[in-house]
Amino acid sequence: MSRRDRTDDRGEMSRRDRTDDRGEMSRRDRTDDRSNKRRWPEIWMVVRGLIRRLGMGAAALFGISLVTFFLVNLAARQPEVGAAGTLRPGGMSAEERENLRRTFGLDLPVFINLHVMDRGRRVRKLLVDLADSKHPAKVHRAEAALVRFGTLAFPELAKHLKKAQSGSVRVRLERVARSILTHAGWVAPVGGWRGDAVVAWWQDKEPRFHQGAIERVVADVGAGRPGPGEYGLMRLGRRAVPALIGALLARGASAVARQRYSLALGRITGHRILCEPGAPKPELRACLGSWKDYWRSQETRYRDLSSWERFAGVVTRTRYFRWLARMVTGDFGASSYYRRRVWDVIMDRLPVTVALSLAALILAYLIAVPVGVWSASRRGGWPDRVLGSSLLVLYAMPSYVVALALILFLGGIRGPALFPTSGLHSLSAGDYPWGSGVLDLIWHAALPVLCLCYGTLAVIARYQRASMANVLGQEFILAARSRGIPARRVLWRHGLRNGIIPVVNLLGLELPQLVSGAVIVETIFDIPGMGNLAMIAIWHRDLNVLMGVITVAALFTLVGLALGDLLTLWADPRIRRPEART
Amino acid sequence: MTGLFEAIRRLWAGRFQAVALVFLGLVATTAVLADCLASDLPIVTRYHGTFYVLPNMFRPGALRRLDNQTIARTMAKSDWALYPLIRYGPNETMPGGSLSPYAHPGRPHLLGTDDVGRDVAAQLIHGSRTALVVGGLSVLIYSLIALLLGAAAGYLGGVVDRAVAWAVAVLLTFPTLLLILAFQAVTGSGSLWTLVAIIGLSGWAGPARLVRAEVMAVKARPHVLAARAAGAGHLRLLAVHILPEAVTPLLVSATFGVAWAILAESAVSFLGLGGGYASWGRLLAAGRTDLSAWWLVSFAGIALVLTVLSVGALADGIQDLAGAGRSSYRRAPDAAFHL
Repeated sequence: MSRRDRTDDRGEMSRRDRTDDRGEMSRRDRTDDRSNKRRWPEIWMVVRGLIRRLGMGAAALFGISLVTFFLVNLAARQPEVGAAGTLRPGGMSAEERENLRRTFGLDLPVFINLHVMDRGRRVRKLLVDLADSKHPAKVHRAEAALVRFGTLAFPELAKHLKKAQSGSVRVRLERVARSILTHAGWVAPVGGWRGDAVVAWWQDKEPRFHQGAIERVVADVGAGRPGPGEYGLMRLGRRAVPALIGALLARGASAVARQRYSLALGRITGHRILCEPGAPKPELRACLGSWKDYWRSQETRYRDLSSWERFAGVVTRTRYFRWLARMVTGDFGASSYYRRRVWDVIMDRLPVTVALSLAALILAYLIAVPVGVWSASRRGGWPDRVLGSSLLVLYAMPSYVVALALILFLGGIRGPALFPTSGLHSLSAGDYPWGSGVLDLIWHAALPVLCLCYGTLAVIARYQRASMANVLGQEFILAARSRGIPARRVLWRHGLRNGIIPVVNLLGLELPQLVSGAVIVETIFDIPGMGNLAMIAIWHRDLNVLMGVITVAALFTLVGLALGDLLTLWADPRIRRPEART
Repeated sequence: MTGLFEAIRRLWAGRFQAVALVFLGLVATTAVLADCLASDLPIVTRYHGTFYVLPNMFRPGALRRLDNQTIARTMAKSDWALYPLIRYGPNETMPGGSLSPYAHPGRPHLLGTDDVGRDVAAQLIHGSRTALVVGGLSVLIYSLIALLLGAAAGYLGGVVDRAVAWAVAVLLTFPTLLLILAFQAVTGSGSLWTLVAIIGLSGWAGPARLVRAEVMAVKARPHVLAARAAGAGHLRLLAVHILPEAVTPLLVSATFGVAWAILAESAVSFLGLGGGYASWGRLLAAGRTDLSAWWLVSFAGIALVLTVLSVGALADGIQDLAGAGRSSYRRAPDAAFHL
């Protein structure tokens, strides 16, 4: 066909919806359409569409974060599951349980925090509780909690000791101070830790608790030089934790130093996660991540907040905000089952699912579009009816039933073992040369891809048929035929160009659906993809992984929708040209 | 009402749809009468002098630790019982005190038993109830939400329209099946009602968009303008003049929605996250562990496929019916999702 014909076709398409007077557009106008001047609105449309999608994407992630937050809070009611450790029902100490609650932020209010606490506030409150003579249980709890604060309780404890004149409160304060100081290994003066002695001790030793001094000690620890005697880490107790965490998470820290820091931290905090020097990289990352989580949830117990931090804390130090921050930064924490960062686990498996889904989708489109067009061209006839019914049958067969049937009849249980039914590689695939390795992969992926493909195929073909039947009933098709253009060309070129638009747009919805389908198919065929991962996470109550998978699936949807938009834009010039939409 | 009869008559005329209607009627009857068709206790019995009617339903716990077989064995002289067609309950593992896993179809178990000795026929019968309850209820819930929000968005426009559009965009990105699985796993109990609630509350996005588009199109038609000029209020306009015209695409999409919900429920049970309720998916899951027990997979698979197929055929029929009279009819996008 000549170039002239082609321009004619395009003119037909874009004028389809215009009013009559615009239909009489001269050839000159049409050339103008494609001139440089007209390109800008097109690009602007694309950019505007993308910005809109981005906004919707942000809103969607916000929605997902709300739902998953709700999920996590449901699950975290039983704290011994979904923990950053193994499943040990009942075998958990009170302190571990408390730590876990804090890891999930259960000690924080849900949306608004009107009492932002930091170290100083907590200690002062406990000291006030300690002086409360009416409730012995409260006093007892406060005493235990203060002891747990250790050296962190200090300037305030000394101050109260100095002030306290009455007998019973002073006795309690002395008891707390004695317990803390003995535990930290400070040698008692003659006469024991009496009030004056503690105050005097603090006045004397306070400089050692200054930040610079602590950092020196920590640096010594990292370098393997425990300071002599009372200069050592034990004497500093919990006061040293912020500096230790800082040193552990510092970028340049050596593996050996990290081991020493994590050892010391474990001894002080009871969160015994050791970063071994010889461990492979993902394990190290998991270890550091675990400490990061610890610090994030416990930070306010170890340091004071500035007034600005406290102000912002009304919003930021809440359960939901913390969850949102984790989701936005893509930090899903550590997997309790794999003992690795969730992101690493997902990234291992994402390519498999993406490859399977894309293969199924491309196959489905390649088959479904011609089938739909052909069926529409014979609409009403018996081939169309038979095809329509069989597509409905395909749609009605769930992939899990088909997968089981395929395994039964092609997997060697009844009939020949034509295809492997589990995994993506043969056991000996590592030894295969490259070509047979690929063949092996295709051989293994055949049944899963088939299971993912046929349902999508049925849906797309039905769409294609409906939209094509709609287009073929319009007048411009008749006009094209009457101009003498062959029927086949009218069908595949004039018709399809219009009829494929809704089907292209469908891509945005189908791509993410395949991820859901992958949950079923990958579980049945035991393929190491994201769907399988989701099921493993569910069985092992690995909430962090589950949240990660759900978020990635949502991202997948967003990408699919944006892709569908772009493709529609490409397929449908009417959307590109604002002036053509009237 | 006459319209309804007319619609059924027209559906009946299409042979495919007629068969589908009959089959769905059969499944629905089975679901309603499930307790009379298959139960671990008699339908009506006089046992040790006391009279019981459907004891599982009306006096739960009264005949605990008893079943058809035990009752038949320990009956007194003047006692009698009317047994159900299948004399086993869907969750009964040891009828008459004996365990028989993987029993072949035949006697005494008509369609065999599964891996823990539950009767397959009984599970099929009660599974139809589960499927229809999930399919019907959840779609009913989300159709109502979609009707409400779609009508509000299409009719009011402006801020409401934008808000609904954004909510729809957000909801469309939710990986529904994953969320269902996660919720079932987390709530632990895995009850049927959480399933209904999740599908019902998350499924309205697509249908709401349909209703909105339709309402916007109908709103501008002359008959609506005429009614408005004659002084009809907003509610009357919506309820009498706009919504009846906008309902058809919703109906089609809802019918396909029923098919999807049934498939989703089975998928959840298949993946082992269903609760203690009987389900076709549970049978398939049992069959997956040992595929040589063909009776587990085949009966449940056939029931599932036929039901979904019938629902799909019905949806197709409604679609054709709606499109037949009108030249300007826009085809509702049908089932976009396959499981």
